[in-house]
Amino acid sequence: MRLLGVLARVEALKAVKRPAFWVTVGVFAAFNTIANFAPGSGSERAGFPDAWRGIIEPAINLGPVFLAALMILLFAPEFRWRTARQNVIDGLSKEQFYWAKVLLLAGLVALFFVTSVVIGMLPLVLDPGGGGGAFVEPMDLNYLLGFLVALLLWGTAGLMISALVRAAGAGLGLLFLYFICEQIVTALLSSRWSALERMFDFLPGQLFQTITDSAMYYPEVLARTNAARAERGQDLLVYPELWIPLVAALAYVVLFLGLAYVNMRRRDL
Amino acid sequence: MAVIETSGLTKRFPAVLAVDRVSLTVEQGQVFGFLGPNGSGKTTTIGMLMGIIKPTAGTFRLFGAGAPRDLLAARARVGATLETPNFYPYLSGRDNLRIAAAIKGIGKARIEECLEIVGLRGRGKHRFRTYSLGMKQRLALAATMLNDPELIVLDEPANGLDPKGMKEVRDIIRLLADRGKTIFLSSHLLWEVERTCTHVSIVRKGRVVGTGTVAEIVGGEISAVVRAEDDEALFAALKAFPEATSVRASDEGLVVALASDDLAALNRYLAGQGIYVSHLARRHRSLEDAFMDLTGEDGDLGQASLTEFVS
Repeated sequence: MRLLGVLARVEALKAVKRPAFWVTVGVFAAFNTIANFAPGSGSERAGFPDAWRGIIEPAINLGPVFLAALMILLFAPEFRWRTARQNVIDGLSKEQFYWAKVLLLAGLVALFFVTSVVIGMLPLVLDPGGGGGAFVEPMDLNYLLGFLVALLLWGTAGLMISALVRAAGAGLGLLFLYFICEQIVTALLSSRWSALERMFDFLPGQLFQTITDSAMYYPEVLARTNAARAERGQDLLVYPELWIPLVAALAYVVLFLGLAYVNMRRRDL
Repeated sequence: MAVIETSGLTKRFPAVLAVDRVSLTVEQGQVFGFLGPNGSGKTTTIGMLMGIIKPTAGTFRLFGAGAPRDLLAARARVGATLETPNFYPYLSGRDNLRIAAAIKGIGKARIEECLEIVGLRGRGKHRFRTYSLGMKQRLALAATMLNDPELIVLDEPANGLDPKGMKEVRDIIRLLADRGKTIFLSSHLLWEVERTCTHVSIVRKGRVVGTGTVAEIVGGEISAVVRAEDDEALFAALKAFPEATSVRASDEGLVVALASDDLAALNRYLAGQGIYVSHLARRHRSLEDAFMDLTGEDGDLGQASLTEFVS
């Protein structure tokens, strides 16, 4: 427990003194605030529990991307500055250094989650709506869970890329290039071989889109979306059972953490 | 008691054999110089001792500990810095030490003490990236001293320093040695090592080519500096002199190593060859000479070799 405390303290000190930390969190918070206070967004909320979707929706797409970028910005430079090496020389094992980064990730996930919820709640605090019934419905909890898993998916991807690439610029480039390429490749191949489409649903980028889509959690949103699609003559959206994409995303989380761990153990610093 | 013991320590990178079966022992209280040209495997060897590089073969012990878990505990008794000072550029010197201190389990008071020793207390609040190279090296020394280690490992601590900075670093090393610390000092500044160290190991292309006390390494070889008008003729004559074991060029003239110290015999021989010397003097062998003999390198390791050898 003492070691965990030391690792957490060290990572917190490294993070909060880094300008990139405040810039990234600040920009994310600003986007989130704008989205929550934009005309129309607040007025649609009648209070809890109906407000939850509006609270999570602006953050669920942006938050994970900002988190992954921040994870790379905080972790990858440790190799260029050779501070990863110095931390080990000072007394950490390579495994302990890795766990310090996992703790950092956990802290950042908590920070992004709490920041999003707090900013999302602000319009309701300033202008309480009517609402009624339970504070939170099961589908809201599922959406919150989806947000958490999405943060973990991108955050662990950022951690793994940092450990593998060991350079912030190249790491950020690789992260975004992968997701862009995945979109292009799956779109091209799916149009030719529709049988591949279901398989592609389990690629990280596609999973991210699935678990961040409010239509998967809220039947009325799905109904509205499908009605619009039907009008346009498009195929109706059909989502698998909720647990399937969430478990698949968590499997990627474990895979990314595992690859980062093995890499940290095996490679010299 | 052996503080560092290596046996057949080897590191092979895909393209190069960086460390080749290095075996050495550093006893408690020694100021041990680890010498070698750039790229001879010094930093890689230290990296293996510090747990940041995995050995390909061989074993090592720190304070008698060899198993991974024991080594982690043994490293708590070590203070080390490798190559350039490695710190967070956006943090102040003091905050950088706070990180090192937290990892080592050291309190704040000791941070101030170490900043004081290296003369950085007044600059402790400034960001590391604003420090001069000398200040960075001193901060690295402060970080190594935080846990009052029994063994201090310094890799090229005088790199890039001006003469004043070098003297400061040397004074700190001496201060630590006087306090009974074991110091493992990697350097290619031979005169620095000769002034500071009690023992040395010399490595070349990853292999230890000489080890012992400084006196043993320098040895009792007799040599003389000779100058004459015609350098080429002098060089040829010295090569042919039966008592000469080696001849090489230096800034002072040609340096001839001799089997006996009869300089009069050498003078007679050269006169017999029609060479009248303008300078002939006995020469004390330095660590630099020993280093050149053992490694085939020039003393200024950054420049091309000007030395010729006759065995």
